[in-house]
Amino acid sequence: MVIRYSPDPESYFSLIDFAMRSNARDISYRCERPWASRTAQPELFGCMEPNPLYAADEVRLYASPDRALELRSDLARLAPFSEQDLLFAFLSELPIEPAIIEYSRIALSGDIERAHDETDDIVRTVLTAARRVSKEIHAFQGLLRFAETRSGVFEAIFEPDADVVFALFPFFKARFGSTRFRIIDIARSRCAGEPVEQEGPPPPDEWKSLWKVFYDSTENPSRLNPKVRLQHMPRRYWKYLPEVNDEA
Amino acid sequence: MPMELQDKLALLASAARYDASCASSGSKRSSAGGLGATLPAGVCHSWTGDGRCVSLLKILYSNACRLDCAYCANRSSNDVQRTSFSPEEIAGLTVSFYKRNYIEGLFLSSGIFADPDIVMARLVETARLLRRDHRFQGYIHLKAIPGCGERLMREAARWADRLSANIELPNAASLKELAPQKDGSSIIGSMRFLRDGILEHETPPRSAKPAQPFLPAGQSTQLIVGATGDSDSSILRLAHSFYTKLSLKRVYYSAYVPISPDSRLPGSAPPLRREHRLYQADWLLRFYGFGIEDILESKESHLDLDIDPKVAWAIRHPEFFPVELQNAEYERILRIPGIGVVGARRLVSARRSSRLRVEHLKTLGISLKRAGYFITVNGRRPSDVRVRQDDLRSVLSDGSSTDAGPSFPRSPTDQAPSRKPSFQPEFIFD
Repeated sequence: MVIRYSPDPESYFSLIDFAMRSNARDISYRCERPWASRTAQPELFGCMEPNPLYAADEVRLYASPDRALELRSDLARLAPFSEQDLLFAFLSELPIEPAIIEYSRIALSGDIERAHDETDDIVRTVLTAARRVSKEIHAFQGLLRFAETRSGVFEAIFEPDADVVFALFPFFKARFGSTRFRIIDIARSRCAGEPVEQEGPPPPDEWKSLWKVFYDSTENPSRLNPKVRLQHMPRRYWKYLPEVNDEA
Repeated sequence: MPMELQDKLALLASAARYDASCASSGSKRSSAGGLGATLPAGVCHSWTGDGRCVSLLKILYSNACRLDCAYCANRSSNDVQRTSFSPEEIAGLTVSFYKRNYIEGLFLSSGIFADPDIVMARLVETARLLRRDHRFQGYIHLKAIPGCGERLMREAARWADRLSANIELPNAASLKELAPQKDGSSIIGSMRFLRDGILEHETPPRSAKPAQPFLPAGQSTQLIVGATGDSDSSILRLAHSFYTKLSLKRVYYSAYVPISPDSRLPGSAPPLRREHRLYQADWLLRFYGFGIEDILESKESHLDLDIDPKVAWAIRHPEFFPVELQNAEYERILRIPGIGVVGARRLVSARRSSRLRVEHLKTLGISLKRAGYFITVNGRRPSDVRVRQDDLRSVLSDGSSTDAGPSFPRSPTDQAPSRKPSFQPEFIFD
């Protein structure tokens, strides 16, 4: 049987709750993400258009807000360390639902030691996926670049590997305070913050040129190390970084 | 006018680039209705061509300087264009860059263009402008200008997250040789003053705690490596004292870069690996529970270039190994080459519920290529690791010292100026 579900946290936690209760075997899961994934293995993650036609063994699971909320409260109460890992594992967009469901069972059972044992395949699968997402969030806290639009909104565009645009919102909310801003995940056509408006190209930004001047002036020419730079800042990010995007 | 600002920025950013004492750092400052906030850990925004992280707008207020320190690009006898920002220009740059997420905050140093109090007052004015007028709550790191008064330092500590004063050299004699106008004991005196201020602020007082923070990210400093014949052991001993006696948060080690010819200075830079070894030793002191006597017990004046200090210790202490991973304490596991803090933590978590096997180690982030010689896993040694003690050194070396970069001398002592005495007492303080 194939269970399809929507790419939102409420559906996700509803799915986990359902799977844990039903204890059914031989189920596979498919999250219906309408955007094409930019990861290295597109054939694995696929581009899943919402398809109204279902095969005989496919069903759709709809979000159950009460169940999702109850599950999250139970996790918060019994295994507080696990809630973020589960959420991040979901944002990774990896097809690891079976491991996630099993991990959730372990966390709720009170077997805290096992839930931290990375030699366990289930635990390692979930924690590795979660860690990847956590790293990506931390990286983009540094790598997002904002520019002021004509209407005075500070806007950043990026193409993350994982679905992290909403996870980044609180960090920038703290940063911007009352200043209006938005973050656009252009690969997934999603936007966190101020709604997108139809407006012309942004005005020329003198601060952007000053930033390039600073960036070029601050490096130590006797210690050039392009290899290390690429390790920290892979070329696929350069498109949206004004300091290097003419070299991208 | 924007054009002028651009040229100033190019000049004053280049002039500041040799100060390494400015890594992305954490602090505790809440937003409380202002612009921005700080985080417990630092954020890297970009990386420059030298492979270093850019996290702060690192600039000089002015590159005009009365001093003539031999190693400095901004020394008064160098024929370079001199200019200065205004506090408003710096505040504008900081806030605009911050909103665009280019930076986490400001790192502001200066040449000593006038009396230290006057110079420091400009830096403090810039920080105050940012905090008060622009309500900037991001990170601010100011240099503590040596020789400035306590009142100004206290005010600086109110606005800044971190203050640093670079000691640059590990003893008075070296400082006298290369930077005779600087006073090492006055630099240490100001570090002590700030340490006392931080301590006073942290100690719960009888009355209500003052609302303003006092230097929440503490102090740091920088030591230049390879400009004199000073040994790694004197550098590390001083760094250790800074950590233990003055509670400094970080010490930075910056390989000397030949900028202007001077007979007092070596003509070439030290091997980059020497700087790397100092950082490795520094990490052992701060995160791995090593004592200074562990690092320096070999009585060599310099750290080994071929093997890292952790491996060096392990080779000197064969009686400590092998360590049984299933039940050894965390502190013992930290001594094993090839196992870092993260690997050790994961190991300790995993073994609570599993019986460890050699196959598990790779998934836990542990390199058998190094750790394999020093461990047993439930009584079993990893296979293929019967190496004699004398061979360990060559097996675990990082490669020859000649590949540490272009035209570097083989040993760090090669380029010590010949008239330097071999031992100098370091700065003494309590």
